[in-house]
Amino acid sequence: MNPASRSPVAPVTALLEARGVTRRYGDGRRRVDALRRVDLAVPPGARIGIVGESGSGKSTLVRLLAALDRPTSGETLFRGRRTSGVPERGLADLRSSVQLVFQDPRSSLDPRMTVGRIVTEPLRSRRLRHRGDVPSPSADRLQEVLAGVGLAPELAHRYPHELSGGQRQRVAIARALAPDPEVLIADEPVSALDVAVRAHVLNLLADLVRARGLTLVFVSHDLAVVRLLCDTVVVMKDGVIVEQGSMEEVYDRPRDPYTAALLAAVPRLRS
Amino acid sequence: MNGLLDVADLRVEFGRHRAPALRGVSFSLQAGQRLGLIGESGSGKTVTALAVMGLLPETARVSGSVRLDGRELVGLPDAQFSDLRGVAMGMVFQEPMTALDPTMRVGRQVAEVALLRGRATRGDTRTNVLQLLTRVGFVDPERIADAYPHQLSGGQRQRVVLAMAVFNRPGLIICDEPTTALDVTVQARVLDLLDEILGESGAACLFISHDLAVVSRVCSHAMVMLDGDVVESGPVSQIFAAPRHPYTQGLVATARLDLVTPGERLPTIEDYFRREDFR
Repeated sequence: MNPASRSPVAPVTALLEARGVTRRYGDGRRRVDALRRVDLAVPPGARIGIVGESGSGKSTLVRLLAALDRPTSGETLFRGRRTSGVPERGLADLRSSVQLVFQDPRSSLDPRMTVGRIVTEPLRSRRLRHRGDVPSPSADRLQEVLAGVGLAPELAHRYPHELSGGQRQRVAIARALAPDPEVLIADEPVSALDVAVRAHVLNLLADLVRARGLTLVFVSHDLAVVRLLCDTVVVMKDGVIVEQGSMEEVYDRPRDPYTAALLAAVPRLRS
Repeated sequence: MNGLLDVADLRVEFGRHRAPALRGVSFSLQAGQRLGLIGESGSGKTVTALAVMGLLPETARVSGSVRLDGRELVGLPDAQFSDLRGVAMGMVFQEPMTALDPTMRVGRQVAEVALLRGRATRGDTRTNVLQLLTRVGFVDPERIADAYPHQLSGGQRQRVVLAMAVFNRPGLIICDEPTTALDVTVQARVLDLLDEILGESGAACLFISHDLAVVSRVCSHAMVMLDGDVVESGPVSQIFAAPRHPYTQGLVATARLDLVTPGERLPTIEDYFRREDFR
């Protein structure tokens, strides 16, 4: 098999890139390398799933790509420009173009703010507004974004604790999409949701990615979920990438024994 | 009804102004049978388990009947319930740290469960603890017994809790989302272990999960709950292969991610069932 045919790296400038990144926590005997010399390129328009179990380094990797954390060594880039070791004021383009959604909307949404304020907050950020085409934080934009994620306009006046888990996750997605980002990074966005709600949120994400041509980086422990949203998959274990390739090939014909074990462990409905 | 566990018309309310948590739930569990309780959060599955374990808060108003081996548990004084827990019924919860004392070595905690029966002596208890830790898959039981809970991984802790749950050979083991917090590969190992241990001990199991696939792996029977009511129950093979109630049909459809072609819309419960039409 030609290894190049399974590489997700397209011959164009990657939108997001990690080059030889290592992230080390602690020192001496307590030293842990959460990531070890990882390379990853996310081309524009890609839908990449990053799969692994707890401690695999998947969340650490996306935090580095989003410049929420700094690599111990190696570098991260956005549109070919370095984002690691760069002061915050140099990250305006990244901040407005890359948005994140996390697993637990209860902890990522400010409980003291109304839904309307939460969703438009990124639009009021001076740093974000640095990008010329960021929509203004108008009432129209708010309604447009809420409608886009299937939330009723009157929810704008509610607080997060008054909403269901699924509604809260829609608010988090609305906030992420308000500044019209190019890249959406979603870290376990459906893991805390009931199966019934999960289906709605996954359908919403798929629709949004398709309609807006978003580049998607989707982190999950669940290969079955990643299969539905992503065209490329990266499998991580103990801080390194053990396998990557097209979703279909990895799902149907895993090459790495760990990927095979991960697939075999997914509980299936016996009926 | 003469099962190991007979629940009849169980109603639980928390305050007058809130919808009842359980609206007259009835089911029977035979010795050795494994029943999965399925439903979304708020459906009443955990409240059902808490009622059986006598762990509902004092503010709960409970009516109906819960009989374990013929003995009525509704209205049983707390002191008598404490004598049953860990002896007549073992318990495994989602988060093992809630069941483990962080300041006590693992071996001593397992031994305390043995002492619940009041007839074990310290010496043979240590031997029993090590045997049991070996039984739940630890190759180095001495090291595990001498460790504190925080020194173990999530999967190891859940195996310890499982060891505690089966120590006194209870006739009933209640598991509430026992593997939800675990990684998939660890989940698979813990479920295999649970399956083996239930098979060996012949204990019945009340298994609560929102995950239909996990239930189908462990249980012989399933009961689907919605808003405090049972909508459907029967053998797992029938419930998952030919669900009758539209809500169950929707649940099964949303759980079959493997049948969806990427790019296709996922089925939702609302494709099958509208809550407005319920009740």
